[in-house]
Amino acid sequence: MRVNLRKICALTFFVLLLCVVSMAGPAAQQVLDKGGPASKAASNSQYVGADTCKTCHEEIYDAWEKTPHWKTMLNKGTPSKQGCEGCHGPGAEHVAGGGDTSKIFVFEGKPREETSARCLACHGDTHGQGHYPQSAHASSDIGCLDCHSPHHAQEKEFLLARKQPDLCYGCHTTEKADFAKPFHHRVNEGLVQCNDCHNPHGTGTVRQVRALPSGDAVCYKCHADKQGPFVYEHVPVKTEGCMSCHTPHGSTNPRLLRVSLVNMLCLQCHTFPTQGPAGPAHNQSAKYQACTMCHTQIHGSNFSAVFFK
Amino acid sequence: MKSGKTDLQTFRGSRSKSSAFTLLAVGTVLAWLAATGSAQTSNPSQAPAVGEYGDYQVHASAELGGRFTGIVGSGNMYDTLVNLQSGPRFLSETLSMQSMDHQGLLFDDLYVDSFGWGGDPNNALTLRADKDKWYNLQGRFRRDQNYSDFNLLANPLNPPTSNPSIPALNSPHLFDTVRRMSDVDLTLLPQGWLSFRLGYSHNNMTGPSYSSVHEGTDALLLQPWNTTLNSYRVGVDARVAPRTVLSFDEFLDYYRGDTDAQLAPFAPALLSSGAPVELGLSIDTANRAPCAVVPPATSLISNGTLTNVSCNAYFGYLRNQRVRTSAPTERVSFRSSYFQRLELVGSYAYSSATMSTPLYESFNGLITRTGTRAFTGTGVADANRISDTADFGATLHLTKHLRLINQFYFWAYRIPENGNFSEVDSVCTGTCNLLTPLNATSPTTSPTVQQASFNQTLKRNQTQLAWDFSKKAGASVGFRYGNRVFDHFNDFLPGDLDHFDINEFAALAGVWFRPTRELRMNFDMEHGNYDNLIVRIAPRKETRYRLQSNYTPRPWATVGGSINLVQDSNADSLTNYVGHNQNYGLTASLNPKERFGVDLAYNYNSVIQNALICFNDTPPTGVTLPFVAGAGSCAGNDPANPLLGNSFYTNHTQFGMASVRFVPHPRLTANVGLNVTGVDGSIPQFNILQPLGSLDYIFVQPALNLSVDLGHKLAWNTSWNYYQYNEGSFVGPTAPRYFHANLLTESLRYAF
Repeated sequence: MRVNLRKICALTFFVLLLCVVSMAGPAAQQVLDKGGPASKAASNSQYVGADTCKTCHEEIYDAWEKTPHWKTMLNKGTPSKQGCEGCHGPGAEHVAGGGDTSKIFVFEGKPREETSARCLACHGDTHGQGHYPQSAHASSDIGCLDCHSPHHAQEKEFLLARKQPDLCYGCHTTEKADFAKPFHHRVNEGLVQCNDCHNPHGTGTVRQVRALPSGDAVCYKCHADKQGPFVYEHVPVKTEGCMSCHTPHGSTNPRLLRVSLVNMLCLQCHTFPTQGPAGPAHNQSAKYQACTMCHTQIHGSNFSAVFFK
Repeated sequence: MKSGKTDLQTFRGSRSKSSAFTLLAVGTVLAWLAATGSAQTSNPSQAPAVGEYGDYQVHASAELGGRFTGIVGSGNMYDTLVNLQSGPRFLSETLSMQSMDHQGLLFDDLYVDSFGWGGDPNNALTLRADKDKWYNLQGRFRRDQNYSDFNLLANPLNPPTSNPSIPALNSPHLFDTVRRMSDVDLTLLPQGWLSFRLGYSHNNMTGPSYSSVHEGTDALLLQPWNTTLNSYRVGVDARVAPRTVLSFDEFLDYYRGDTDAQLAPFAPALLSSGAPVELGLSIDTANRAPCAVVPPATSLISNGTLTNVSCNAYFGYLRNQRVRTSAPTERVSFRSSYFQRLELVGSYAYSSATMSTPLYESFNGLITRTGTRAFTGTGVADANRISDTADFGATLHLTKHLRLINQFYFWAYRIPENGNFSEVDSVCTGTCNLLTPLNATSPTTSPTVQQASFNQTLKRNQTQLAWDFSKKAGASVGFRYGNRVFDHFNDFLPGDLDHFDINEFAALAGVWFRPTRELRMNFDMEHGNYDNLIVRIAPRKETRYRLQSNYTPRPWATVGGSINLVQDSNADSLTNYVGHNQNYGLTASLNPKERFGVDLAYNYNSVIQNALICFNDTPPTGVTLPFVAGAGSCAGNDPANPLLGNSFYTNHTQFGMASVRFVPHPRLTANVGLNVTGVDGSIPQFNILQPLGSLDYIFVQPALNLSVDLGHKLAWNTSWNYYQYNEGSFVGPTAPRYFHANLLTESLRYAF
């Protein structure tokens, strides 16, 4: 079946454009509070300053004072981007109301879309977070505050609610078990972190997997000798990726192979010459040995079409 | 094969620390300068509080101790899986300096964290420093030692009936390498309308490793591993409009591969002339590997002398390459939420990698099949990889609760490949054996010119409609279309082009619930169809289901569960491919009191992978192998491999974990834990000697940790770890892999 991708892309673009045009204009309903508190165009008189907040919320203030967010206090002349009110909005009515929580933005209980929009008002255009609105996390209602804790972070770096990888394992229990298998990438040992390979804020590819700038798999950052280019490329390495033969997190098989015997892995493709590459003609009983005994350069070779050297 | 380990490791160890020490030195100098500068401005009459130095609040810790290891069973397998050895250690070190008014002299915050110094297989150092609007600096050094001696991937399976019988008890592909990676990234003016990014990464892998080469017979090769990748990054971000950033990045990767290979001893012998010769790894005289025993001799080697000189063997082998790859990449990208309802992100990158290497290969010995006494190979290889990568993402907020998400991804590359080699073979003109002098051979030159191109273009577009019904529930549906065109021009001759055009159609759906503040559930699924494939075990149909839930009935109690199901298939009658990976997991974390906590986890994983295969197998008389006996006929499809069978691989893995933390006394903290991974499964057996691999074992890891607060900012830590790897699979003529080991770690930690 042949589908014209150009038509699909053009149609998608046209639909998007139509939507934008139809909703543009001064009468457009405000659906997303992108500017954070500032977009409410509150006057400076509605801001009371963080010192006022501290009088009632001293414990929270003391914890927050030690975080990088305190530096917003140095934003001279822009109270809407300063201190507590930089995130929670103007506090004058809240103070006048004797602490009425309906008069100020309280994150707890608010939809993910709203709370994350507050964070992204400042952090949305930073490197690595541009794909968040399209990410699997966003589609699954995982917002900023599910992983980050501005007031009670256990991890100072990035104000994470818990340390990696425990933070990720909280939902991704499959991966917790995978990394406990005898052959695994050294995540539990602290050498590799989940976000070395994945961007929790989303990427342009599926499953939030990072890629090298050249488009190649992120695996080559560490396994540099496998990247090539080679004069003789092994087809699945480049067309299907590393996961054609390996499991990425952990395995019960050496070298994180998908099956326990390398020969079986090879034979599943190298058989039926009408379908693909021919299989070996060795008599398996007379001379069984792993294919990689001879085909040592299986990820690609510069000198041997059969990956001998 | 392990004899060379100590010297090489000592050499490597001294080099490994250089990058880390540089990072540590930078951190120390920064800390000293900043603290001194700040101290000078503070009032000297006021004594600093504990942990305060100058303008900074300082926390630091250092943990010194040692490990004591006792191993019973396979030490090589212990090194493969655990590799924690005895000796003194600098177990961990932390430093945090935070400017109390967030306006430090050189930095506002500095964090240094490291672990594993002194001989552990993993050690790392991270450094982070920032100064508000001026800079962010992140540095990381990582060193990992990789030891592998698992002889499934290279196993000559020398039978005990061979004469001589020399089983390969260590993997012919054993390696003991060390990878050192350094990453430094500096962002200047991170909050300015124009900010700059500089970065450098270094990845160096060295160490002894072994490989094998097939020239008549397989010989063991020593290949001292030596590869280096240097990566440089420069980038600039310009905030060109409100909430809109335009970026440009330049990357340069430079790779050097300097790994050589030379003959290593495995089965040495002498010729009658006294010349030493190497028979290689495969010693199966009944099947003429490297040759048969010729009567009246009863063994291939008698009193150290080779009895059959018409034998595949090596006098010497050497191979050199010097791979040099440079890969510059330019990328422009943007991200914008300028429009009220629309969020956009996109990038385009162009990369052009160039690889070139000379080749030198020399063989001296005998290849009986071709009558070759020696050969020399020389030549040059070069290849390029030109790639274009683009992505574009848009999220359109149709209403407050409804949004349309589109992601487009494009990746195209082509790899023109050129090889120009020449091999000069010294071929025997008459009788040919190991005693034939080279001057009794005639040279034959075989040129090889390889010109090919390996091209692929991938396009993928995913559109989703996400609807948040309320703050308690939402759903999304979507569709992904992809197209992949793969062309492999083997030699640019008519009819020698491999061409594949594959379309992917995938339906996507997901729902999420947060019925109460305590409970959340996510479910998503994908169902994909492919109308063609490149490799045989790529699926024509693929379905993924994922369910995750978390329940937090109390702030101190969290219970979670997940189900992940992946099913692949290709119903083609000549393939019959089917695979699944089913995973079910439960976790619980209960910390009702500050002095008591429990963590529990259980996971069950079932994996199946099957495809029809053709193979050639004639078991010896009297031997019945069920897989061979039950095979059908494949003669019509592959005459060289006349038997047809299902290559069913099954794997069932159970993982359980329990950990209890309790504080019986304010100065004493104890942790007790147990990790168990159990595996059973099956895979067809082709050969009576074939080891069945890692499909029947239990890996048990109990642990106990005590920490005693000694006062004066000192704590004494002691931990006991036990590892038992109990593999019950048939191992054939390879070494048993069972081991158990006790590891005791004692340390003293000073922290303020």
